[in-house]
Amino acid sequence: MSTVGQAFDSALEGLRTRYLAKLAETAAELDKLIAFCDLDALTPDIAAAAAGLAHKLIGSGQTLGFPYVSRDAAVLETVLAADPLQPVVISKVAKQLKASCVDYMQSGTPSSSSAPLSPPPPPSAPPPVAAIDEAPEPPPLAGPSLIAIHADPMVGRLLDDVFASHAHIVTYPSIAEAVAPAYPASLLIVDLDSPGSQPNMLGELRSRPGLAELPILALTGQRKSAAVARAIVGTQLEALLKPVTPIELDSRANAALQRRRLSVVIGDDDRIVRELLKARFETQGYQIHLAHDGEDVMTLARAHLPSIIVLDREMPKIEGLKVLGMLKADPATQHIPVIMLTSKGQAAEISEGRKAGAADYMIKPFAPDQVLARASQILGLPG
Amino acid sequence: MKQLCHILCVDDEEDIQEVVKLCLEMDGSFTIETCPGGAEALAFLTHTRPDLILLDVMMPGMDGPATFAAMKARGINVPVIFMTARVRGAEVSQYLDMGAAGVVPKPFDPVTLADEVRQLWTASLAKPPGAA
Repeated sequence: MSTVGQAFDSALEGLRTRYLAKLAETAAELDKLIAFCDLDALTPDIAAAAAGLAHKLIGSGQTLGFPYVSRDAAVLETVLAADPLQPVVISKVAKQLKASCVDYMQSGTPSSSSAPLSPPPPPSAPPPVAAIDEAPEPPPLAGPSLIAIHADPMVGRLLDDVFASHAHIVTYPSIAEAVAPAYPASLLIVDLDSPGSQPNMLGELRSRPGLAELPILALTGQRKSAAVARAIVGTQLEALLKPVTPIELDSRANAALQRRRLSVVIGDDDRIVRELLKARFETQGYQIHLAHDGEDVMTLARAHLPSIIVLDREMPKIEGLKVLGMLKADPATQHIPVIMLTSKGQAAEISEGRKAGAADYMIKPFAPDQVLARASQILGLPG
Repeated sequence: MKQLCHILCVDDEEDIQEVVKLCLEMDGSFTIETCPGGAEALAFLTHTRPDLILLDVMMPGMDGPATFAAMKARGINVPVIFMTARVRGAEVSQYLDMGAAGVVPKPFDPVTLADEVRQLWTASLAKPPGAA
């Protein structure tokens, strides 16, 4: 990093540290607001002052690296604007904002990257960091295992909210400390705003055993970090800009996990078609198996039992329609949906393919995106 | 071509003032002055003409739009970029219709602020300062 860059980071860190100290004053202000609400003594003046406070926090919180302050302050401002004298709702929202302030105050996040973070569990959040050497519980057989890299109690709380009920989460405080757990993991979630987890470290992370192929969800408040992470990892990384809602995280993680389990056999004797389709399916995280004749398709289908097969009708050795018949006759493969491709577009042939059990029939030339979209539709995937 | 050198940041919040100052000064090509409110900004502008003003929308006393209107009434045609935590389309359109050079939403990204400001300022040169 350049001297200017270091000076910038250092100065910004100073501002953040001072802001962190100010959060104590903010929490005290919120305490007063909550007390007025609970005593049913809210007045328009107090509500207006609270709206002013919330508005300032929206702008400053995330700018200085405290995104959940911005998020909760925005909710408070909205609630106050909707009905400034609704004490029950205002009190509840103010308590949430105060909890976020207190969480940051206790964790010290963000803080100097040179200072090791050992955040005490805030009262409103479960313990966020469970180091691997603290003997993690074995993962439930039914659920995926997640590797989480973060040092932020708020992120820990978010992950617990979304995943703790059905997944085993192994947490490391920084990229440097992350290793693959002894059992297979399905997804890696990394907070790029945590100290020791800069996006430029993702390349090295991917080179570690067991972590090379995992899909990654990266959480960050900085668009630049997201762009750098995507540039390094490519299509196996999805970036979520903070503040991230539990629903958003759940949806994106499920989509990534679902795609992770997906595989496709692409059978076509035309190399260009194979490569085009391979490139498109790879963007969605499919495992790809390429076949250049009918025999290969049967071999790969039986070996990998893919989620879906894309099958050219005109192929050497065993032609496509016969392959389709063989797949449908084999109990091991008959459930696998098959999209037939052909340059023959006559209605009779399409009908023939449909009768033989093709899930869909696409006529060449086709747009690879259409094949991918159709595959997603057949497999019931979002988007 | 005219260079963007001297910027006035008007914001009642000290943290935002400082982070703006830090981000822009670190860029190396700007001098930043700050004012805590609209009245102070108008007083500052009686003796100094910056190249650009970053103007917070919501401030106690004289808010951003009122400050901008007062500037125009005094014939001060310095390009203004509003900074606001309310980035609803109608409000952004309103600021641009008033003649603002642009709107920077809060929270903003400290890393990209300088580039964003420079781009908006460059774009503003294509039209007369302060013109709608």
